[in-house]
Order: sequence, then C-alpha cells, then structure tokens
Amino acid sequence: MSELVLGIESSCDETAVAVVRAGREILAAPVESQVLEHARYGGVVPEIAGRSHLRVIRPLVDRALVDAHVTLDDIGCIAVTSRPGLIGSLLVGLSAAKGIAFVRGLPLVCVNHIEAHAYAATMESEGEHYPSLALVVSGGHTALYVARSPFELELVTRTLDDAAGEAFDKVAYLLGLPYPGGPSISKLATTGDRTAYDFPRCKPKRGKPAFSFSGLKTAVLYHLRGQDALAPTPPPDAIPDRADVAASFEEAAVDSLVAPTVAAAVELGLPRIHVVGGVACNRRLREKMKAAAAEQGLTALFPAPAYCTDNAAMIAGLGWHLWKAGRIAGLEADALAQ
Amino acid sequence: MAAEGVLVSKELVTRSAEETEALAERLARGLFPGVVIALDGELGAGKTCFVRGLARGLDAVDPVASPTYTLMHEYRGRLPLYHFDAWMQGREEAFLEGGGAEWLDAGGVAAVEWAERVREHLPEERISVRLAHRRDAGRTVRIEALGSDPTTARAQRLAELVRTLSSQSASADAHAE
Repeated sequence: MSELVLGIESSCDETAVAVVRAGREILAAPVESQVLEHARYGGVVPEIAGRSHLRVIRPLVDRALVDAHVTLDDIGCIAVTSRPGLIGSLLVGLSAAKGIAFVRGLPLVCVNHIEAHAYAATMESEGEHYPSLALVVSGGHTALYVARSPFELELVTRTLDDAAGEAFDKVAYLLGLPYPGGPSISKLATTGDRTAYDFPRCKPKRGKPAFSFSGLKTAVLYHLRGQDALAPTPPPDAIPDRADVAASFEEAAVDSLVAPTVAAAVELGLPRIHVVGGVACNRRLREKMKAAAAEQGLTALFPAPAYCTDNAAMIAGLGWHLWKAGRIAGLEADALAQ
Repeated sequence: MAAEGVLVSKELVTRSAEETEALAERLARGLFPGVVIALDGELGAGKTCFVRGLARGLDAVDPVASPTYTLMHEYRGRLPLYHFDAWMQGREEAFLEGGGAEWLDAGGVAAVEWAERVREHLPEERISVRLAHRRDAGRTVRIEALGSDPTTARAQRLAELVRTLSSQSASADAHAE
C-alpha cells in the first residue's frame, strides 16, 4: 500500500503542494508565492489571493508530482488545509483536493494549518517528539500550545495584543526598512549593538505565561522621539542609531518570546519546545531559545527555514498521521476561517 | 471630517493603559447594535487597548488581539464586536469593498483602527475616538458623536452616549476603583 500523501495548502497568500512519504520523507514541496501581487497593497488582499490560487493550483499539483517522480497512481491519500485562513483561499485548495480524491477514489483528510505548523518541527528529526510545548509565532499568530501528539494541541496562551511578526513589521516601518520587517531588522541588527538600549521585555504576570509586544513597539517610538512623546517621529534617514535600535529591539522581542516559553515549558513539565511559523526563521530567536532551553535541561526544535513559513510538506506530513488514525473527511467537508 | 457633522465632542485624559481601557469599557456599556467606532491615533497610542475595553464593556469572552494581518476579528459578547484594522490601507479597502463592509452594519458593534484611512467606507453616523500621546505617558482621548442630521433618533442616541460619558472623568473613575 502506498504511503505517499499529496498535500495541498492555500490558506493565505502561498499556494503549495507537496508529496511526502510516511509523514516525513519530503519528495517534492513546490511553493508559489503571491508576495509580488500583494506588495502594492501592503498586504494580502483576499480577492486577489483566491483568484491567484485558482490560477496556479492545477499546474502546481502537476509540478509536485513531476518533481517527486511519481504520478497520481502512486498517491495513497490527499491532505488539505481546511482551517484557519481566508475562506476564499482555503476553498480553492479544498475544492481541488476533493476533486482529486473523488475522481481517484482516494481518502481525503482535512488538516488544521496551525497543527501542521507545529508538526513541521518534528519532520526532520528522529526520536521522541511528544509531549511538547509548541510556540507558533508569525505575522498573525503568537501562541503557545501543549502538543500531546501530532494532532492533539491545546492552547496555553496567546498574545495579549500584537503578534511578534507584526511588531517586527511596525518597527521596521518606523526605521524605514522594507516589508516584511523580520528579515530587514535582523539584517540591520547584525551591524548594531544589542545592548545599546534596554527596551522593555514582556514579563509573565502572576505565574501565567503571556506575550505582549505593544509596549515594546511604543518604547521604540518614544526612543526615536528622544523620549518626548509629542515630538515628531524623525524620518528614517535622520535616525543616527538605526542599527543599534534594530539590534536592541530584536533582542527585546526575542527575549519576550524566549522567557515566557521556557518558563511555561518548565511549569508544565514539558521536556521539549517546538518553535514554528515565519518568525521561527529568526536566527537570534533560534540561538537564544536553544540556549535558554538547554539551561533548563530542555531541547528546542525548529523546522528548516523553508518549513517555518507556509508550505504543503507539513500538510502532507500531518495528513499521513490523520490518515493512519482513520480521521478521513467526507466530500462535504467545510473550510473554516478560524 | 466636516465640523458641522460633529454632534457632541469631548476631550478626556487618561493616565494609563488601564484608564484608557476603563474609559472604553464605560462607553461600551451604552452601545447599541449598528454603532461604528472609528479609532485613530499613531502607533502605540492605544487603539487596540481601547478595543480591549470595548470588548470588556460588551461582556466579550474572546481575547482581543491586533487584527492587522487577519482582516477582522469577531468577539462574542452582549453584542458581537467586529474589530477591523486599516493599517494596510489598500488591503482593508479591498476587503471592505469586497463584502467586508457588511459587518459594519451586521447588528453588532464595529471598531475600526486607522479609520481615517478607510473613512469613505464608514457611515456618517458614528463615534470617532482619537487617541494622542501625552508627555506624561498618559493619553488625550477626543471622543465625538458624528452625524449629518442631528434630529434622527439614532444621532441623538449617539450624542447622548458621548455626552453622558464625559460627565465622569477618567481620573475620578480610576479613583473610585
């Protein structure tokens, strides 16, 4: 029996298809990004995203099969992201998956995008992965989950205000750096002094883990105004210490992710931490999370950068586990925004 | 914003994020279906904080977070609260034009951050909240009831809401707590 799963992901602005064997061996995982189409709007436009998915999904399925040196005859199961995301975008992938499953008489499994991100951390290494604490951190999410198995996630806490990726984007805007802000800030930060400014860190209150990035964003704004809240924000090229601000901000943002996460893992008695989502690409976060986890005798796992951002390898990977657990979806399966 | 559209205008001062949230909570206690609250103020002025207070005042149980990347958040409470963010102006405009504007009048309360950027999509009758930084780390909060016809029942209700809100100062309230 085939152990190959064809995975389809279209929840936001990346169309992705993958062929994965037995949950972890990635044979092909092409991704078609729409970043350029959305750039002039400064962010993802749902209508444009839906139409763009529709245009590329069919050729992308073909490409994934060709790249994997297989045909649909070799596939054992179709896995697709059904939630959460933009409805118009999700429906394109879900409809394509249903079509293939129906015509080929293959089982269909519906995958939760967040659970798949958390699963991505486990795909490239052998050994025990559960139970673990999953930090899902991106432009739209900053949340901690207890993962007891690939598809049993329980929310521990989420950000009180902004997502971490959003804070990077907004500070990048203040510093005149291009979108997306994460890579821009990291690059500039390598030339700055991380200890130049002591920006506020989010501290857990009353023992309960929490994330907050709003105060940090405001602290950077006040710093740029010379601590005078009513002074105008200087234009980016008039900020003499941009690199130091970028470096000090990144340090504070990373600490605000690391401290609550490690504290929660210790508190909950979880031996391992999985850090996933677009912000998990951040090198400083990887360094500091690994070091802080090691200090507590914990391990911290990150997916390779290509599998931190949206991809279909994680969908096909988690899909295999759902298939084997008998969690087959019917053709009436719905897409859900949340 | 045309000056003649202002039905009632009040300026209050809050001294902390908690006070800003408490002010929004008091405003929310009097809100009725279909009210749109337009929030303006630069980065870090407290717009999301104000929405958190609105959610508390509407007895919403869901946690409030910035919807910059997710187009809109919905929180369930005494009335549903729809939370928009037009930071990415073009995207939010396309969202509102593509059907998202239906939520502005869906029988709940709509709060729109960076409202100035999508002003033409908002109803004339609305509450405007402008938050500004102060040197003392507090915030100046200008709250206005807006509408082109002051004689409609709805406009009068909005005006009354803002008028009564201003009768107790934020600091007096904080003291009472």
